[in-house]
Amino acid sequence: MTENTNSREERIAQVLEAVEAAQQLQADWLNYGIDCIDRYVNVEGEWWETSESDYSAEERKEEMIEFLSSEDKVAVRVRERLKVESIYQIAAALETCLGICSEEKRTYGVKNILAGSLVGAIAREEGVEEKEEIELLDLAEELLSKLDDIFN
Amino acid sequence: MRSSVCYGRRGGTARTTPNRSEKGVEIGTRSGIVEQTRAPSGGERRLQITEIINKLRDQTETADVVAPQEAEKLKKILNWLEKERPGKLTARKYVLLFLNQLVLDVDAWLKIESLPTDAEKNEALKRMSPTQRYWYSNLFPQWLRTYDPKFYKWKRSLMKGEYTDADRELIKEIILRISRQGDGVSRLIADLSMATDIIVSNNQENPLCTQLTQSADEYTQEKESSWEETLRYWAIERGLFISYNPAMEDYVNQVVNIAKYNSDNIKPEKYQKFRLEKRRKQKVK
Repeated sequence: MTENTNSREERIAQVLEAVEAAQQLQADWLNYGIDCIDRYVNVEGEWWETSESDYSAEERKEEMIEFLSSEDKVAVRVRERLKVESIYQIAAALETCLGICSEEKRTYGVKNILAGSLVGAIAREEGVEEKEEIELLDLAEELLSKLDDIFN
Repeated sequence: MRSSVCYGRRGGTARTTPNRSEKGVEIGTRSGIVEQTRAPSGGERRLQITEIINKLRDQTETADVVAPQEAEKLKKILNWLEKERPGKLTARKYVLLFLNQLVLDVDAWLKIESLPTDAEKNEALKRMSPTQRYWYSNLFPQWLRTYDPKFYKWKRSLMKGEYTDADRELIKEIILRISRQGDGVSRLIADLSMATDIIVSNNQENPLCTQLTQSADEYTQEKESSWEETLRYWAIERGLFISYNPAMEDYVNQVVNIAKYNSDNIKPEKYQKFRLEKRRKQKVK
């Protein structure tokens, strides 16, 4: 941080030095390619460390909200399918489903959420055509794979 | 021997007389603008990933005081980093490039924000090059304070190792050959969130957000269709989109000339596309 006790010229010089440092990294990247980063970061000894905490249910929900709001194609398709529901509701339903469904029932649980039956995600609604059923299962699997990427 | 690009700060000191390289390209000789081949500097010493995260944490705390709105984005990034295994972060070099760029940019931005008067801020900005001024006074703080619909996706793409810098050599050439040598800003945030590979400026010192894409790139069509929308989202007033074919002779000169000309001539609210094909360049209406 810049200390106000410095003179005006010193403060401005500190700004310009900081800009120059950022531009130097840019220059190194352009000149030497991505391997230039080896000169900036020491990666030794960090390969096997693990993070201290897993996601809590609330954090998982927040992550899902962030994902569902994003431009990711799967997220866009989920939003299109569940126009009426808020992203918060979708995330909450997904979190509940992932919490209570066994591994093999997850795809069906998520598919039912996508079919619009947010209440009782496990219950199957009648009247879904076979083609739509397959599309929903595909989307459910893609969504599960994305969530798997995020949390594992 | 190939010249390497390096950037010195602008203004304040007199510029030296430019030289000509073997290629006939004007390059500056003042120390800090262009040097001959050398090893990358890498800053004072190599940092561990945990040190980078700690640095970002300190910066976030400072930002929370001087610019709370902008601090929110930093908090989100910090939250993400704290959740990841350090080994997973260090396994991807572009994640490390992004984090290093971010920490250095936040450092410069915080130093600007901490200047006591507007007059002093203006003076500091005035002494930067036009593209640096645009980045630090406009686009970077804009990114910090605005929801970024693309960030989530590209963050994951960096983590999965899907990002490549196919246009790096061309960006380097543009910077070397633009009239004000060494003036150009190229950041992962600009590329991935703002559809801008490089911000250039020529004689008029009017920064122009430029997107480069290889015509054979399978995503070119997708990039082109959403490009203008992305620029408008970030309130970027002028834009240039060039698709080029690296198999074409002389494509570098053509891209450089288009960038130079358009930097001086594109009007506000104008987003210009060019496709460089084999026979002639096509201006897309």
